[in-house]
Amino acid sequence: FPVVEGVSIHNRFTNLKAPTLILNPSVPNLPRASEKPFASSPPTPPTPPLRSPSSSGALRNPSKHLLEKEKVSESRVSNLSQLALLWILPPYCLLSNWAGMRAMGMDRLDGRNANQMRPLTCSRNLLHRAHGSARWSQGDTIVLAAVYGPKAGTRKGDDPEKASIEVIWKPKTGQIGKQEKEYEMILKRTLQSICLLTSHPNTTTSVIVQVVGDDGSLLPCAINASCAALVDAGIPLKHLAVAICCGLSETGSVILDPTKVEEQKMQAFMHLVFPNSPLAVLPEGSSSKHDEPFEHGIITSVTHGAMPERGYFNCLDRGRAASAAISEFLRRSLQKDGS
Amino acid sequence: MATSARGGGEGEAAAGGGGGGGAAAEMEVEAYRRLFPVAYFERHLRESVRLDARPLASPRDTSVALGLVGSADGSALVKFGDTTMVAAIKLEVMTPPAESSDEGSVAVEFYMPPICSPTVRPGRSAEVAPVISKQLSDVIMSSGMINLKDLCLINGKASWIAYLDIYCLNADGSLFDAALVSTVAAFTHLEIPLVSVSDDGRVVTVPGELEGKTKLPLVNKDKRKLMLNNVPFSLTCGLHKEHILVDPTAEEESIIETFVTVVLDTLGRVVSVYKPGGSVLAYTSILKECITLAKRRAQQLRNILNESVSAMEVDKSS
Repeated sequence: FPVVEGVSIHNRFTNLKAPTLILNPSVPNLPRASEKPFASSPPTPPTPPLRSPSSSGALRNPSKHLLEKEKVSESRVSNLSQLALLWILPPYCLLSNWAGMRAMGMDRLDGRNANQMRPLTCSRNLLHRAHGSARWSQGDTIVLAAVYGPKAGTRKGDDPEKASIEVIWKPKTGQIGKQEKEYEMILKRTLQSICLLTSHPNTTTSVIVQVVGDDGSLLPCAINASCAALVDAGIPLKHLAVAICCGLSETGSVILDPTKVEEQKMQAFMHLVFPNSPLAVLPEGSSSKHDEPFEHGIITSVTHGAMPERGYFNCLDRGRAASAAISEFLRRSLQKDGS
Repeated sequence: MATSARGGGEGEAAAGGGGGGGAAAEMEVEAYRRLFPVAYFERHLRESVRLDARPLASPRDTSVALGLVGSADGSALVKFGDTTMVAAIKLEVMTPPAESSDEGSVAVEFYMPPICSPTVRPGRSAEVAPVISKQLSDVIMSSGMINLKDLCLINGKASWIAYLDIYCLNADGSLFDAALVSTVAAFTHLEIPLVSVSDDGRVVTVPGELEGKTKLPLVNKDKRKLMLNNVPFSLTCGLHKEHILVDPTAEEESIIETFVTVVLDTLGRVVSVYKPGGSVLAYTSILKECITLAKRRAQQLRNILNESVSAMEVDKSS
């Protein structure tokens, strides 16, 4: 299946706005025609002309640098390492944030600012035997989810009046241990809360999650992939679920979507899952009592590390704001035909 | 089917002497409880009371007893109503790995033997057991309750590994909470055995009587008890429609699908807010209330633990 979903340099930099939250806008906006040249040419190693412009050169005259690159190889963009290179060279729009970032003391290794997520990609319908499948990546964290179901019968202990969901988590390396069992349980309970369980009683839907790459924020990536895979399989859902990872540093500042290295440096990090829908099947009596809109409730929260109470609620607020952007991305990629 | 018949039979036997009308009514209540658990439960909620007549925000009676397992270095028995947990710690000497040569380690394992619940079968262990083990070890590490450097004996050559085993003897809801209290109690009771270096350079434990006879016991002489800082305490609340139920029993857990477990430590920090899915969404107001309830509960548990520690010390001295 395609390694990278058609990123064109031109689109990437022109579509970038400079708000606080930046997603890689490339995937859903591209017309399908532009994908053909990428698929046909084989990936080639990066050539010297691309590496030589120093970062200061790029900042001084960014537009010239861009045109140069565009000329050199549109077809070579399919190489993942080049993409990583492009992302690390600070694009012009981050310049203004850079000063602010240094002031905050929050210098992230890959040049993102505190509110910036890694490039998201989502592709569906990759596996042809599975009833639904999706591949979700956030930077180097890549998860592949496959859905089989509904199949007849439930397991012995489960309620036959409802559909049941079974999750199998396959790590990238190593044996299955307690960590995988915990992920399975969290994923199962999260998916159970978004599926319409009464529409297919006495059936089992299996969700198999395969970790392809792990660079921090693994559980949210898996939840997003499973949600997209369920949609791809056509399982009836009450609403979508969007998941995000937030990290809290000792100084109290919140960063979004930390990498593995960043997670270890943080005082605490947490995985949050929010519901998302313009219209939803609301559980009765839930939103009437609260002044908060539906999207502000948490479906799932898993935290690691001790933090002050205020820090937790700060992270919740940031997570909510970010979830709006991720759900926008999810909807756009689900609406476009599966790549 | 079998349970409802049994419920009916029980009702009949109990009300055998009470006359015909009484017997029929008892049978109906028990049968209704088994056949329509959600409706039965909600009838109670409307009167703001729970199935065991507790108010919504009150936890069950808790008791902690220390030192019940004689062969272990530290042990505790905790009861939350009917939920019973036994925790035992055994210390062994190990060679620490190169990257953490001045630290010991803690290995937590949570067992649910078939005795604890009718749903647990002998062959396959309960699904929830490895998850609770992992959660417990995460909380112990996150809260910093134990400083691993305290478990070091000789830097680079020997350190303690604490095998913490928790057995659930009766699973009646709030398993994680009871397990955490039993962990804390067992570490409070823990007495590190004396060690000395034998002739061939190995570190061996010295039983109490031989204290004067062997070579100088290590650092140990004055370091028999582990210093616990930032002790974590937890509270599980069930969310059902707009009600928050504190410390659910197993019957309530089978009806309620949504739980929030809040773990706080003595400094008032939030060690963990764990909400694994569930159809009821947790808004900020609900979370704030759960944290407030957890603070109250942490204070209660701390008092109970301190009482049992002082009771144990009185026993030892007398």
